[in-house]
Amino acid sequence: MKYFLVWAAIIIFLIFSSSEFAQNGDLFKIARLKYSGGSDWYNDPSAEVNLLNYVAEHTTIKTDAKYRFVDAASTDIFDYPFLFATGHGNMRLTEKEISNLREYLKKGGFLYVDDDYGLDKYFRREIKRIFPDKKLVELPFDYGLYQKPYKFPYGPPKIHKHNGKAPQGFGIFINGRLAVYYTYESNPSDGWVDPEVHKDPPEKREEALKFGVNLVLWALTQ
Amino acid sequence: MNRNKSYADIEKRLRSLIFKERTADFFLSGIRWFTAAVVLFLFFSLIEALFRFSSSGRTILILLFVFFVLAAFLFISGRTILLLFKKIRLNDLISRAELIGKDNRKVKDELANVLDLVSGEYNDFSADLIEAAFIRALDLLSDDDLKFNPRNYLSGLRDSALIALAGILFLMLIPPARSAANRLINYDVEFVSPPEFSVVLMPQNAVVIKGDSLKINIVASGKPPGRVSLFEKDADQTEFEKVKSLPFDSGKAAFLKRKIFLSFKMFAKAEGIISDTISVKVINPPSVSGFTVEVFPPEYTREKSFKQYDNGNLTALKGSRVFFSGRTNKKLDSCLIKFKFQKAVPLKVKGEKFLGSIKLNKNGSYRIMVKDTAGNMNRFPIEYSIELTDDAYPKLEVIEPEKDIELGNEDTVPVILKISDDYGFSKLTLNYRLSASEFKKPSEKFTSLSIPINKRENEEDIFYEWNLRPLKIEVNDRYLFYFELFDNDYVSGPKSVKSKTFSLFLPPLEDFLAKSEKEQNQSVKKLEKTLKEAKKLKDEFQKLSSDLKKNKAKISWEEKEKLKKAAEKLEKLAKKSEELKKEIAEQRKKLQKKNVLSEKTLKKYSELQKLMSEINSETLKKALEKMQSKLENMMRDDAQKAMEELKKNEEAFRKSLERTISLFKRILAEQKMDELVKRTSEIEKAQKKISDAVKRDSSGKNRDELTQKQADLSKRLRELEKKGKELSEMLSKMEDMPKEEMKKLSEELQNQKNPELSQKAAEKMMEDKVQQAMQNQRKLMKNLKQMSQKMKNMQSMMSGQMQQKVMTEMARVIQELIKLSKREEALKQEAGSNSPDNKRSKEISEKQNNLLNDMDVILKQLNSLSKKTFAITPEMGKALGKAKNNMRRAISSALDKNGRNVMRNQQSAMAALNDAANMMSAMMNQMANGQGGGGMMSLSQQLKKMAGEQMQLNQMTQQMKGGGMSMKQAAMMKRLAGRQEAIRKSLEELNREAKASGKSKKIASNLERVLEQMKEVVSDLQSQNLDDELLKKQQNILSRLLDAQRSVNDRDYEKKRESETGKMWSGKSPGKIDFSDKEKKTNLEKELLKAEQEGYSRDYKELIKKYYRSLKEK
Repeated sequence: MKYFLVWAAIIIFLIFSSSEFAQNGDLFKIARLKYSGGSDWYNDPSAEVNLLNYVAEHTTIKTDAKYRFVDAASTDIFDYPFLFATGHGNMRLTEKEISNLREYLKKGGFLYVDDDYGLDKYFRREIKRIFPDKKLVELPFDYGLYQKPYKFPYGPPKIHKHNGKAPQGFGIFINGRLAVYYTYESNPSDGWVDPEVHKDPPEKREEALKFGVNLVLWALTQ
Repeated sequence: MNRNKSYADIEKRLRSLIFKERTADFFLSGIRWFTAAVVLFLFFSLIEALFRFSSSGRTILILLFVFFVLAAFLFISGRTILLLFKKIRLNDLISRAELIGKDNRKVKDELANVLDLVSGEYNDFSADLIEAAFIRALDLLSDDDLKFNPRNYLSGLRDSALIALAGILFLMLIPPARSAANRLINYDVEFVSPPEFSVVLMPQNAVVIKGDSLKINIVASGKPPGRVSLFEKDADQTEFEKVKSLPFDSGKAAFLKRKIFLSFKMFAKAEGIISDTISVKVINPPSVSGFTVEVFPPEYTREKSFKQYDNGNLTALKGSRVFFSGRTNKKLDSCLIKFKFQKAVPLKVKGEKFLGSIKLNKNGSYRIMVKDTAGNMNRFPIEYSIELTDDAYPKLEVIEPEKDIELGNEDTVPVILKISDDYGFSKLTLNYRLSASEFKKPSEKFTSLSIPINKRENEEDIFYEWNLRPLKIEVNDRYLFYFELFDNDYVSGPKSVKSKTFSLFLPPLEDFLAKSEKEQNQSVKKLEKTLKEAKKLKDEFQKLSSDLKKNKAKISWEEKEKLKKAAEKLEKLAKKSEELKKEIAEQRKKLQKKNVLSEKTLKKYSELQKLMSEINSETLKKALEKMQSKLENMMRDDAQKAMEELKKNEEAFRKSLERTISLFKRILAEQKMDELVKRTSEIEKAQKKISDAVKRDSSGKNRDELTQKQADLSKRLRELEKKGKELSEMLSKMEDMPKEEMKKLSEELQNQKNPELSQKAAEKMMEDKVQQAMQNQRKLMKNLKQMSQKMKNMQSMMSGQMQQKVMTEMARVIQELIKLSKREEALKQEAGSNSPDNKRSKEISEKQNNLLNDMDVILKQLNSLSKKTFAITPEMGKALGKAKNNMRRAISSALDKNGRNVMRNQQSAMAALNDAANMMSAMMNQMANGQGGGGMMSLSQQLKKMAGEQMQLNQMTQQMKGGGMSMKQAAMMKRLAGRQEAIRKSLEELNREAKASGKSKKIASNLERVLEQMKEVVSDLQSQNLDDELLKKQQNILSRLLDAQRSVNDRDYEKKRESETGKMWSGKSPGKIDFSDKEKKTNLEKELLKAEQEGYSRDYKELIKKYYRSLKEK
C-alpha cells in the first residue's frame, strides 16, 4: 500500500509538473520589434499585453502576457513566433537587421506591422530592402485571416481615422505562407492599448482585439 | 545531104514529138479526168447535201458517180491511153507534120507532103524531087517546130487543176458539202439528219486558278432553241449533273462559274442537241500553309519576345521588330508584306519558305503576298491588323514636400517621391530657379539637379535630401522648383511628366515673428473669449440648477430643452478649446522649426499641451453623455444629479482654461525673451557678414549692395528696440517677473542707439568713406555682443527668478499642508478618544470645518500658484481634492455621530494631505536639481543624464579591459563600481518616483531589469571581473536607458497623429492573390487573343474566353 501511494504520488507529480512545464514552454509570446531609424517603435506598450490577455480569455491558446521587446539585429527574435512592429516615423534598418529579419521570416517567423500613422512610406521602403524580389500584395476580403474565428467581411477594421482612406491589409508571402502582414489606414494595435490612451469606444476596441485574435491564430495555424 | 539520114532524123524527132505529145495528152487527160471526177463527186455531194439520201440512196449515187467517173475516164483518158500505146505510123507522122505546117506558115504542108512522098506511096515523083522537097521542107523547119512544147498543155492543166482544187476546197471547207461528201463516201452508213442547230461552249479547254471564276459562253449556230442546260461533272463525280438552265432564244448565253476549286467537264444540251464537252482544269495557287511571327519589343522595355503561330494580328509596342517565317504549298518566286498604307516590304524566299522582318511604326494592316514560280499570287490573303500599344507616360507623385516650403534653420529639404512607369525611367531631375531676391538677380532659367534613380526598376520610392547650401539662400530669397521624370522610351523619345511647381522661401525672421505674434495673440484672445463664455455658462448652469429644485417628479419639456442647450454649449466650448490646443501646437512647431524657442520654453509648451488635453477630459465627456441620457427619462432627480456633476466638470473646465491662459501668457513672455535673444543673435551674425564683406570689397564692386544691407539692418535694429520695449511693458503687468531688470535692459538697448550707428555706417559707405563706416560697424558689433549676452542673462534670470518664486511658494504650501495634516491627526485622535455625544460631535464637526476652511485657503494658494507654473500637477490637485472630500465626510459623519467613520475619513484626509505634500516635495527636489518643473520632462532629462553618465562609465571600463590588473587599475575599478552604484541608486529613486506618479507605464524599457543588471555590474566591478560579459551588460544597460529616455518624450502634437476613431468601412475586395508568375499570365492572355482572332463565331469566342478565364483563375 505504501509503495503504491508513493508511486501514485510520483506519477501525479510528474503529470502536473510536466503539464506545468508544458504550459510554460508552450506559452505564446509576442515581442515588440525594436528597429533603427528613430521612430517610436516602443509606443503604447500596453498593446500586445492586452491582446495576449484577450487571446487567452477567448481562445484555448495560453499566452505569456508581458511586454517584451527584441532588437531586430539580435538572434533573440528567433525565440518568438510572432513579432510586432509599429511606430509613427522613420524606419531605417541596418544591414544586420535586414539579414536577420529576412532569415527569421524565411525560417517560418511571422511579422505583423501596423502603421500607427506616418510609418507607411518608411516601412514600404524597408520591406523592399528585406525582400527586393517580393511585393506587398493586398489581401482579398475572403482571405482566411479575415474569416476565422471572427469574420471581417471588409478586411482589416478601421480603428483610427488617419487620412480617412480605406483600411488595407497587405502581405508578403514566402512559398504561399503569409510571412509579413501589414495594416495601413487601419491601426488595430491602437485599439489594443489601454482604454484611456486613445479613448476609443469599447466596441472599437473589441473589434480591434478580435482582429488581433484572428492575426494570432492565422500566424500559428496557416 | 543524105536523104535517108535526114529523114530518119526527122522521123525520129517527129516520133519523139508525137510520143511526148501523146504522153502529155495522157497526163492531161488524167488530170481532166480527175477534175471531172472531182466535179462529179461535188455534184453528187451537192445532191446528197440537198436531199440527204439514206444509205441505199447514197449507194445509188456512188454507183452513178463511179459509172460516170469511169465513163469520164474512158471518155477523157481512154483515147489517150490507146494512143499512148498505139504504134506511131506514117499517117501519124504526116498528121503531125500537117499540124506543124499549120503552126508554121512557112512550112505549111511541105513537110507533110515530103513525108508522104518519102513514104513511097506516091511513086510518081522522082527521088530528086522528093529530096528537093524534103530539103525545102527542112529549110523551112525550125528546131522549135519539132520540139515538144509543154506550154500547149499548161493552160489545160491549169484550168483542170484549178477546177479540181476549187472542187476539193469546196468539199473540204464548206461544212454541208463536207458532210455530204462524208456521207457519200460512207454510203453504207446511216447518218442522222443534221440538227437544226448546234451548240458550242467556249472556251473549250481552259485552265483556271483554284478559286477563280470562269465565264462560259454558250453559242448556238442554226435556229437556237428556247433554253439550254449545262451539265457538269467535276473530278470527284462520276456522272454529269445538270447545273444550270439558261434562256437561249438569242442563240447566246453565258454562265459565270464562281470560285472553281475542282477541275470539271461540261457540255450543253438543248432539245437533244449536245455540244462538245469542254474541260476546265483547276490549278492551285500558292498559299501560306503556316507561319510564325515573333515579336521583339524595343530593347529599352526589357520585355521578352513572344511568338504567335498562324496568327498575324499584331498588338505590340511601337518600334517592335517582327520576324516572319513561314512556308507555302509551292515553290516561291517572291514574298511581300503588303501594308495598307505603307510601302511593301519584301521577304526572302527559299523554295517553299519565306523569312524576313518588319518594324512596327504605325497602326494599320497588312497581308502576306506570295508568288509562285508560275507567276501566280496567293488568293484572298488574310488581312492582319497591327495595333500599336502605347508606352505610357511615367507617373510622378510628390509625397514630400506636401506644400510650399518656408525655411527655418534647415539647410536640406527632404524629398520623397513615388515614381512609376510601364517600362522604366531614364532620368529624374529637380529643377529650380531663383524667382525673387532682395539682392541677387532672379534667374529666368531653371537649374537642373539629377536625382539618382534605379533605371532597372519600373516603380520606386525616392528618398532624397536636397542640399540647399550651394544655393546660399538669403533672407527673402524665393526659389521655385519642380520635379521632372523621364521614361526610357527610346523609340518615340523619352516622355516626361512634371510635378507642380513649389516654392521655397526664406522669410526674414522679423516677418515670421510678427506673423507668429499675431497668430498667438489671436489664440490668446480666443482662449479669453472661450473663458468668458464659460463664465457666462457657469451662471446659466447655476440658474438651471436652482430651477431644477422643484417638487415635481418630472421635468418639463422646456426645462429639458434648456438643460440640453446648456450641455451643448459646454460641449461646444470644450471643442473650441480642443481646436485652440491644435492651433497653439502648430504655432509652437513653426517656432521650433525656426529655432526661436529655447529648450525651456519648448518644454513649457509641451506642458501646456498636456494641460490643454486635460481641459477636455474624459470625465467631462462622460458627464455630458450622462446628462444627455438622463434627460431622456425626464426624471427630475436624475436630471438634478447629472446637472450637479456637469457643474463640477464645468468648474474644472473653466479653472483649467484660466490656468491655461495664465500659463500661456507667461510662456509668451518667455517666448518674447527668446525672440529678443534670437533677433539679437541674427542681427549680430548679419552685421558680421556685412562687415567682413566690406573688408573684402576693396574695389567697391559690391558697395551698393552692402550699403543696402546695412540700411536694412538699421530697420531691424529699430524693430529690436521696439520689441525690447514691448516686452518690458508686458512684464510690468505680470507677477513674479524681472520687470525692473527688463526695463533697465530695454533702456540700455535704446541708449546704445544701434539703429543710428547702423544708419551712419550705411551713409559713410554711400559716401565712399569706408574706414569710417567700418568704425561704426565695429562699435555696433561690440554693442550687439554686449546686448546679446545681457539678453541671455535676462533669459536665464526670467526662468530662474520665476522658478525661485515658485519654489518659495511651494515650500510655503508644503509647510501649510504639513501643519494641516498634523492638525487633522490631532483632531482624529480627539475624535477617537471621546465617545460620540451631541456636544462632542458638534465640536468635532466645527473644528473639522475650520480645517476645511484652511484647506480652501491652501487650495486657493495652490490655484494661484498653478497659474504660474506647471509644477503643480493634476495628481496633486486630486490628492488635495480627496483630502477635502474626506474632511467633508468627516463633518457629516461627526454630525451623524458615527465616530468610526469620522476617524476613517480623517485618516484618509490626512493621508491625502501627506501625499500631496510628498509630491510637491519631490517636485521641488527636481526643480532644485535644475530639471525645471516639468513632470515627465524631468524624468526624460534625468534618464538622459543617466544615460550620459553610463556611456562615460562604459568607455572607461572598456579602456581598462586588457592586460593585467595593476594596483592603480584595481583602485580604478573600485571607483567605477562606486559610480555604477551611484547611477543605480539614482535610477532606483527615479523608478520609484515614476511609479508613484503613475508615469512608469510610459517608460518602454523595463527599469527593474536595468536595476538588476546594474547590481550585477557593480558586483563584477568590485570583484575586478573585467571581461566581455561585463562590457556587454554595461552596453545593455546603456541601450535600455536610452530606450527609456526616448520613450518618455511625449510626442509632439501633430495633426497627423491625432487618434480619431475610424468609422465603419465597407468597400470592394481587391482581386485574388496571384501566386503565379507574370509570364504565365501574359502567355494565357496572348493565347486568348490568338483564339479570338481565329474567326470563330461569337458563341465560340465566348466559350474560349470562359475557358481561358478559368485557366487564369487557377
